[in-house]
Order: sequence, then structure tokens, then C-alpha cells
Amino acid sequence: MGRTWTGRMNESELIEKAKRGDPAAIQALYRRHAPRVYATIRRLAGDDALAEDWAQEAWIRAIRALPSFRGDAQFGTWIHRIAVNSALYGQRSRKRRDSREMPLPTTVPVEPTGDQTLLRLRLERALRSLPDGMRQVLVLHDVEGFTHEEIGEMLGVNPGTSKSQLFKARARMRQLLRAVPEPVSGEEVCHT
Amino acid sequence: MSHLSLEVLARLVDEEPDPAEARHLRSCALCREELAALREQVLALGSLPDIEPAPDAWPALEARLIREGLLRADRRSWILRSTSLVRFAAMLVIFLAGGLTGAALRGPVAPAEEAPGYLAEVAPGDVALAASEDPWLRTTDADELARVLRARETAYMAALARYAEVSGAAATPDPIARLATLESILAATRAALNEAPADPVINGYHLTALAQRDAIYRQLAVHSEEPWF
Repeated sequence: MGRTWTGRMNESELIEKAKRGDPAAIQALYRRHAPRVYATIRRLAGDDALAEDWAQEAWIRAIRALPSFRGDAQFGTWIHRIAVNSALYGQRSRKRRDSREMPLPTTVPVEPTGDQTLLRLRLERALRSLPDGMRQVLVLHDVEGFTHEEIGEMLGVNPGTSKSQLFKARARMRQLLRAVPEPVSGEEVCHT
Repeated sequence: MSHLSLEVLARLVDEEPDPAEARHLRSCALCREELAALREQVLALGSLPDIEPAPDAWPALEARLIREGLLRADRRSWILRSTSLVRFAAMLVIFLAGGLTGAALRGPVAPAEEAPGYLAEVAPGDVALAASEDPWLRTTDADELARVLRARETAYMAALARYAEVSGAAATPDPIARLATLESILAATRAALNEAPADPVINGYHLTALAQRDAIYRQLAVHSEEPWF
């Protein structure tokens, strides 16, 4: 956004102006928080086009709900939670529309290792390859840092289910990140 | 004992192993390696960076916010999008300063009807009027705003041209007064450049004013009978 008057304002001033529908303040809040919101939603969605729609939806909900934002939590935490809820809602709606499960790829293309960027790229690709349920729990727990209790509440499952999904998802990720696929659930990797 | 499954190892990233699992881990390098790899994977996931949304995400969101009445449809936003508020404010200040310069220099020299054609654009006193009853501050119509902006620019260019003319003439107004006026223009352009250092328009105005000031200094040095030291 460059050096503008909104760039120098603190967040609570921006929020107050944004509550009154001030376009510059709303844009400044968007610029500050859009990368985090978009990253969370894209990882939960596993798809760029869906992520763009759901991110827009998240911002619409946030701006609509802004007058009720009392500042009990940081704005970043608040909008992040809205982003997660929007993505989960989007996921549920999509499932209702299309119950077909995407075919699960066995591996992620192997690229040279030793470079942080390449490692991130591989992680992102592997995340996209996970089935929706596994990806949600893995992203919410290992990427976003929610507890199993919070995840259970968001997904409408008990914390034990969230845990077992997480362990399955981690194992699947490990397989996807390796060149050779291996068995996951309940099976032994090899025998001595 | 057989190796631990990947799911068990994935659990051991967060939880303590039971006695049997702990015994196996102590004796099995492969499982320890696999557990270490899973821990790295979890750490790497936790440090994934944020992702910038597509550049067209904001315009699309802005349009929808306006449609849904969540954002004030600011009729001046077309100007803010094409040129930043700072740059625009700076231009306005410069145009006004330029107009005032022209008015200050022109007043005693020639009446409006005898003035060259380009000066007809700036009638005596109109800049002061514009400053006190600025239509920019009153109008809400985009076309009207563009017209005001063009008028400001015309006034500024006319003032600069007039300035160049009187600077080159033999019988000029007080050079100290001209210098003072130029300094006020330079102060405005300098302030604007502090906000928008790379702006080509403001840089252009600043360099023009600097060149004019240097020309006066050179003129003063040539005609001065006093030694400069």
C-alpha cells in the first residue's frame, strides 16, 4: 500500500475507522492481514480457486461483523478464526454438492532437497494431495496450532477423533514426501 | 519386535512412548530415524510462511463490499487508485504555490487584457479565490474534480512560463522577492518528495524550481558589484 496515512495508524484506530465503513482503513486492515488469512484458507482448501472464493467470503463476513468486534482478542486472531470457519464451511458446502472423493495420489513429485523453498513447495504440494478430512486436521493442528479440543469443536467431532486423524495425516504426509509409498494405517512398515 | 508403524511414530511426536515402544526405539535406529523425520515434518509445517493473495483479490473484494453496502463508495477513489493521496495532495500544493507565484509576479507588471495569451488562464486574484473557496473541497463529481485539476495544472504552467519571462527580462521585479517565492515552491516540493521520493511528476516540479532558483543566483552573482567573499 506504500507510505500512506493509514500505514502509520495503529490497529485500533484503523478498526474504529473501518467500523464506520472508511474505505482506506478497511483496505489497510486487508493489506495487513490478507496474507495470513489467505495462507490458512488455501491450505485448508487445497485449491487456489476455492481459496480465493473462500478468502473473499471470509473478508465479507469479517467486515460485516466488524461493528460487533469489541477488541477482546487481537484483530489478527479474530479474523484468523473467521478465515478458518469460512474454509470449513466452504468445505462442507462443497462436499454436499459433490460427494465424490478425489483420487488420492500415491506420491508427490520428488525435487532436490536441502533448500528451504523447495522443502516448502513439497510440503504445500503434499498438503494439497491429502484427503480433505486429513488435511483439515493436519493444517489446523500442525500449521495453525489449534488444540484437539478446539479442532473437535470446529469440526464437530470429539478430540480423540481429531487426534487419530492427525496421526493418520502425518503418516500420509510422510509417505507423500518420500519417493516410495509405504503402507500407513495399522500396518507395520517392515519386520525384523 | 516389528518396527513401529508410521501412525504410532506420528503419535510419538506429541506423546511419550509406552514402555514397549520406548524399548523398541532404544534398539531400532530405523524407527528413531523415522521419528526424527516426522518431528522435522511437523516443525516445517509449523513454520510455513504466509501467502500473498492474487493482486486482483482486493479489487474484487472492494467491488463486492461496495455492492453489499459494507464499504462507502468513495467517488474520489478513482483518483486515489491512479495516484496516491500523498502525491495528489503534493500536486495540489504545488499548483496553488505556482498560481500564487504567478499572481504575485504578474500583478504590478501588466493588466490582464494586455497580458500574453497564456496568462488569460489566470486572472488576477483567482488563485487566492481558489484557495479560499476551493471547488475541490466542495464538489463531489468526478468530472468536475478532473476539470479542477486540469485548471490547477494550467495555472501552474502559466505561472512558471510567466516566471521564466520576467526572469529573462531586463526590468524584473525584485529578485529577492522572486527568490523568496521560489523558496516557498521548493519547500512544498521538498515536503512532497519526502512523502513520495520516486514520484516523477513531483521530481520534475522540484528540478524545475531548483533550476529557476539557480538561474537567479547566477544572475545576482553576475550583476553584483560586491565581491562574493
